[in-house]
Amino acid sequence: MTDREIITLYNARDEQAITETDRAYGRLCMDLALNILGDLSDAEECVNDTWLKVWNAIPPACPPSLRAFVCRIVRNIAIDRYRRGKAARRNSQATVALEELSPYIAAPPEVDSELPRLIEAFLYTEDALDRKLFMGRYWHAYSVKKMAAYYGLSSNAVSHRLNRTRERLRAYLIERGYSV
Amino acid sequence: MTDRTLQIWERLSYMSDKIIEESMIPAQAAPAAAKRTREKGRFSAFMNHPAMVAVLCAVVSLGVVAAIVMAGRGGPDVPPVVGTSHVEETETLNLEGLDYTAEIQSPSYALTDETLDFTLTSTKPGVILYWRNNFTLYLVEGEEEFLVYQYEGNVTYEGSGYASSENEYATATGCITMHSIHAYQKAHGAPPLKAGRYRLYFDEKAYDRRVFAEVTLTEAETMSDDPETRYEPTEQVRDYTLIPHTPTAGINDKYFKISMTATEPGKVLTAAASYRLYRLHGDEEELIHDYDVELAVYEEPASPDAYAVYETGVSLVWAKSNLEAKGDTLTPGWYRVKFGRATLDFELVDKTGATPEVHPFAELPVPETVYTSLSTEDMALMEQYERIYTSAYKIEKLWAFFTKLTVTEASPPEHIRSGDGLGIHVTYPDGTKGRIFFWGEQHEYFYIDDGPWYQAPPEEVAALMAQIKNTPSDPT
Repeated sequence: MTDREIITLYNARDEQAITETDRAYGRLCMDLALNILGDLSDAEECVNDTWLKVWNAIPPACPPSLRAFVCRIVRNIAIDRYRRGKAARRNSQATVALEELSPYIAAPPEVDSELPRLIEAFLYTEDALDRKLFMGRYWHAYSVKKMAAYYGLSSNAVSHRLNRTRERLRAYLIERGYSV
Repeated sequence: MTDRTLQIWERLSYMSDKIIEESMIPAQAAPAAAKRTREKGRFSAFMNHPAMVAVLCAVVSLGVVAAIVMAGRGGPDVPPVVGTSHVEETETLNLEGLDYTAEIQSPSYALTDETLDFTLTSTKPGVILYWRNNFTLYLVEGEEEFLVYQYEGNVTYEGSGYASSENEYATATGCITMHSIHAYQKAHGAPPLKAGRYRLYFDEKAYDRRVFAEVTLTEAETMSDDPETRYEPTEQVRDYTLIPHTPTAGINDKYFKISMTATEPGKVLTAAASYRLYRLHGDEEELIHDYDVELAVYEEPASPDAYAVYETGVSLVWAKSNLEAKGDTLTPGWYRVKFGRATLDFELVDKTGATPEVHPFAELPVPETVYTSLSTEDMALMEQYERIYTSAYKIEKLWAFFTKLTVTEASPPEHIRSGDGLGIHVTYPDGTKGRIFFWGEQHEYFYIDDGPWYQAPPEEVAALMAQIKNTPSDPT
């Protein structure tokens, strides 16, 4: 079933929409939640909460990309849960990824709304592989090992590339007047 | 980590659909298959997508009706168009997704780059992009084209080749690795790849189409011993030999150090990093520590002739701690460690009379694992000694490195700095030669002999940099 057909089901308030969304993106969402939370049952609950949120959001929302839409929701729910159970999350991929990233993007609160746009603009100055690695690590919270295997690089090369991208990001933000 | 960091991280959710989608790794991708060859590795992951069956059926059907495919329809206004070709639309078969444009992701690549990445973009919005994994690379000189590389893959499809809405253009990405081009040329007796203008064709011969994109390859700018240009093995070996660093372990040692050495040269060593430690009572084994981690060993050899070596250690601290929790203690005698299929027996002896080795990190409780697989305890330690992402053994190696090595030769001027890097040659206390490559604003990151990267404490780096500056062969 296409995204458009699924959205049509949501618009018709047909509960089959949730089944179809789960079929299409359940595994993807589960992976993302698991990467962040590091706990299977938490991740399952998170995905279930996501379907409820999607159900409540569409309509009126009519996302151009249902996949990105559900990923965004599951990510936010997972981060919220992560925040509440932070002490227990020490072994999630997200913890390690955040530790890596935090020294580079500690921008002041007033730039919050601008930060995603700025980082995205920066990432489009990077080559595609570096952009995907950065997003993979810091958006999807993939492990270095997983990305290394998927992109056919060594783990060292992935870490090295990520490090260089973070350094360039810092320089990019400083250049634009943000002390980081 | 602060709530502020989390807030920022949360804000990143609001990045665009495009950048989120392009970076997704399909949930069903099989990472283990990825390293066979660079191209096959990436593409094999796509084959695991459940939609693959449907795609294969669709493409087979398309092959049957290929005769009805005609050229000549212009595409709509889409992002970067370098080469185009076209298929005819029919009422019964959705052929729209076969029509795409190709783009090399950067107008120029260096000959030493790892990959040459490309993107295919559907010429129609809202359709699935199908493409056949065949491509050829030609050197362009004047009006002539010279074949440089040819890859004939299977019918495949890229996980992100779906358009998510009727307005969106599906894209697919792929890459060619430079080493596979070099290998192809070598196999065909062609001269080495040189700088120049190249054209990459995507051959959809069944559909009478050739889509192409152009790219310029430039001479390498990086230093010759840049870690990124080092030997990149593609084959793996799972068999290894366990070699203890010392004949016996001391009862008060923190670790019993062991090397896992691959049984075949030139291949990547893959193994489980987990181990079980037993105390032997005659033939009977008493499990005293089960070190079960997700971390897998993936160690590359430095050259085709070298054997991959993964250095690890059996934690005697944990063993002692586990025993003490049961009212027991670690005692001299024979012990057995099992890493996967490999077993090593060793003797634990009382070395209390010996002079202990003291080093700057001796008082630190040290993390057990490397940074990609941290336990709760490790994370707590990380907060205390943040950014020393290394195992206890490696901390010791790091200490030895900073205090005992002699800088024998700083790299010559043309090699000394490349962008943010600095390479030096060193001699270790045992007389062996090594190489360290630094980068980062303060040269705080480094490799040792092509090993994992580290971040060093600033004061140690400063001391080392001072030592380097005093080296006679260093022009600075």
